[in-house]
Parts: sequence; C-alpha cells; structure tokens
Amino acid sequence: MQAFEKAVNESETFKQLINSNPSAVDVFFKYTKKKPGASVDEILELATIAKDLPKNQLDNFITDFSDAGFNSAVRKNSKLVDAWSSIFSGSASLRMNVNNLNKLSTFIRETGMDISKLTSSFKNAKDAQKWIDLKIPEAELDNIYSGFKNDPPFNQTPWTPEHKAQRWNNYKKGCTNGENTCLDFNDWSNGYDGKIDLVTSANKGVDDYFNSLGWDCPSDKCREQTLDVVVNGQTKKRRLDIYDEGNLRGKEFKEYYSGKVYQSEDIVAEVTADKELLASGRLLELEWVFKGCEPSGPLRKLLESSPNSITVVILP
Amino acid sequence: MKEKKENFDAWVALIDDRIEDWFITLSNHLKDKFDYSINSLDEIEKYLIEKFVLDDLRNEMNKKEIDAIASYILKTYKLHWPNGEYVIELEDKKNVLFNRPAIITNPKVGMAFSPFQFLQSTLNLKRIGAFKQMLLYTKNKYIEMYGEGRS
Repeated sequence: MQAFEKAVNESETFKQLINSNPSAVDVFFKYTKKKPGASVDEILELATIAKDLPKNQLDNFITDFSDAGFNSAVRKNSKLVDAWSSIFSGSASLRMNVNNLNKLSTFIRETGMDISKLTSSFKNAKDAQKWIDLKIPEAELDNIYSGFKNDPPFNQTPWTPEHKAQRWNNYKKGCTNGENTCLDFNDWSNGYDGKIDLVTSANKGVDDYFNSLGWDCPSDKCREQTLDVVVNGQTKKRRLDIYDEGNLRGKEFKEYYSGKVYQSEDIVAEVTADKELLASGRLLELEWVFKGCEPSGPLRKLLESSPNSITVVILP
Repeated sequence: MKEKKENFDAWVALIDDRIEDWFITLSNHLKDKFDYSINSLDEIEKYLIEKFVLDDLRNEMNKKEIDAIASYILKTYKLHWPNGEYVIELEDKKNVLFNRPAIITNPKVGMAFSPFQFLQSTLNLKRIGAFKQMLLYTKNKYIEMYGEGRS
C-alpha cells in the first residue's frame, strides 16, 4: 500500500489515470505482485496501455506483459492490445505471437470490426490459428481473387485465403444480382470464419460422394483429374472432381455452406470449360452436384442452357 | 524427365514403322479400309470393338497392336489437323494426358488429343464416331479461326 501511495504522490499522470479508470489500481497491485521492483513509469505505461481492457482480461495481459517480446511490441504499437483482447482466451503462445497480433490489428483497422464480435467468434473457433490466418481485409481478399479468377483450376482447399476469396466474390456476385441479403463484409466474414470447423477434410464431402457412387473407377484415376481446355485461344486447366475415362462422364462437386452458388467469374470460367469438353466430345455426360447448396437462378440457367447442357443435381 | 522425353521422341520417330508392321498382319480388305481418311477412323473403332474387350487393354500381349492402332489414329489426325504437332505431358501426373503421346494444332485450337485417352471408352461404350467427331471439331474450329491456308 505504501508503494501505491508513493506512486500516486510521485506521478500526477498516474493519479489522473486512476481517477478516470479505476482498473489502473488493479493493474498496479497485480503487476507489483508479479514484478516487485517495477518502476512507477513502467506501471503507468502498462496501466495506460491496458486501460480499456475488460477486468477479466487483466490477469492474462499482465502476465503476457512480463514477456520481453510482447512487452516491446505493444509498447511500440498500443493498437495491438485490441488484437490481443480479441484472442485473450487463446493460448499464451498464440496471443503473444506478434505476427498474429499484427495481422489481427490490420484487420481490425481496415474493417472497423467490432472487438466484442471478434472475441465471441474466436471463443467458438476450434482451430484458433486458422481463425487468425483467415482474418484478411476485403481489399486483400479481392486481390487474391483477381490473381486466380482467370487461371483455373479453382478447387481451393477449405479454409484457406484463396477459398475465402473465392467464396466472398461468389457471394458478392449474388448480391449484385439481387439474389441474397447482401451482408456487409464484416458480417459475412464472421459467418464464414465461424464455419471453419465444419470441414474437417478438404475433400471429405466429395470423397464420400464418390464412394457412394460405386463406380468401377479407382480413386487415383478418377478423382481430381485435370483436362487441358483451350478457351478463347488460351489453355486452361480444368480439374474435374470426378472423371470416369471409361465412360467419358464427369462430375463437379460443390459444397457451399452459404447455401447458394452464384455466377461469379471463376464459376463462369468453369462452366465455359465444361461446355467445351462436352462440345468437343471429351465428355459425354457431365453433372454438377450441389451438396447442401444450390445454384442461383442465373447459374442454373447457364448450366442447363443448350447446346452442351450440364445436368444439375441437388443433394441435401 | 529427360529420358521420358527421349522415349517419346523415339516413339514418334517410329510411328510409321509401327503402322507398317501392323499392316503386314492385316488382310488386304482391312488395309484398304485403313487409308488415313477421316472416315477410316470409324473403321478403326469398329475393328477395335470387334477384336478387343476392355480387359485386353491391360494384357501385355496386345500392347504392340494397340500401340500401332494408336499410332495410326495419331497419324490420321496429323494428316488432317492443320499444323498438328505431337506432344506429351510429363509433369502433371493428374493430367489425363500424362505420359500419353498426343497431338495438338499450332496455334492451339481446342484440346490436345491422345487416342490412349479414349481406348477404354471406345471398348466400354462400343461407340463409333468419337475419333472422327473430335478430329472434325478441332479442324473446323481451326479453319473458322485461321482459314485453311495455314495447314
């Protein structure tokens, strides 16, 4: 208590901080207990940085602040505290990882995402690191999409930046066409990230479906086969989820948690390539299988349009 | 990779020899039908369907003849496709044309074609007309884009 009175008497700033933010008192006692020789300036700096943290996060923050790397990073950039706060319930190594904090901080700054929403979303994430890895601002996601939208194959591994970029741009296309509720990026992104744990294996859905077909076609020869297609003078790689060479039939498998697949540029490029495969006789039969989702009206129309129509199959 | 490319080059160099060796084993009636015309591709499919079943493709004893038939088909494409070039995919194992001699037009119009990609379906579906259809599809597209002068 003597040290506390001394600190109050020595530092007018500390006194003001305590008046405006009573949690500074907590910070003082917790930190001096952890680090008895801490100077008033050090405590003041910590209390200032942590002044907006909820009370239940203080213990963890003070413990982490004792780490030299974390201490230096947050003192250089106090905005990292918001990022830290959103993942405070994670492991110490995760929340003290400066790369993670910088990534999240950039995301928060660029999206204006509400910290409490992030905190709540993080608490539910089973794969915490993947949750952080997918915190990519909208502009960056659009750049990622621009990088591959004309360069198939488009079968992106869930849940990766490329997959998120593809799904976001697909959703935006649906919004442009008035086919969905046009969630803003933050709400959509939270919804997407919240589904990370639904897919345990990138190919589980299509593998299960392929096995259920009972085709006389070994998996190594029939799954994920690439066909070169020349569209408008350019060679494209079309990777079919399922391709049965013995019967010249193929299947494209779509599993979108959002429930709808829209006619975005990458999807149109796939349809164009598939119709070329049918037109040239490389395939005699092609189905697009939608598992737990369905094509938007315009996409369905495009798929089923003549010539070279593609069969639409919808599975629950 | 280098060795595979050399094998492919050697395979291409011996296309005519393989066809000639095979022709020696055929009756004159058949040889007359296999005149490298576009319609002769239908005759090749009929021959395949009459002579082989699916499992025969995996039988080593048939390898020589199957190779010769594939050579014949490729040569017929070469004669009718404008600027046809023999190619082989040696990098992407998941590509259906991996390690299969194929042909493509130059400039590229449509897809590369390899008879090895379609032997299974020919025997399985007993379908006649596929080779001809694929040849004409690309040939017509090429003419549409570049005219006939470049062949």
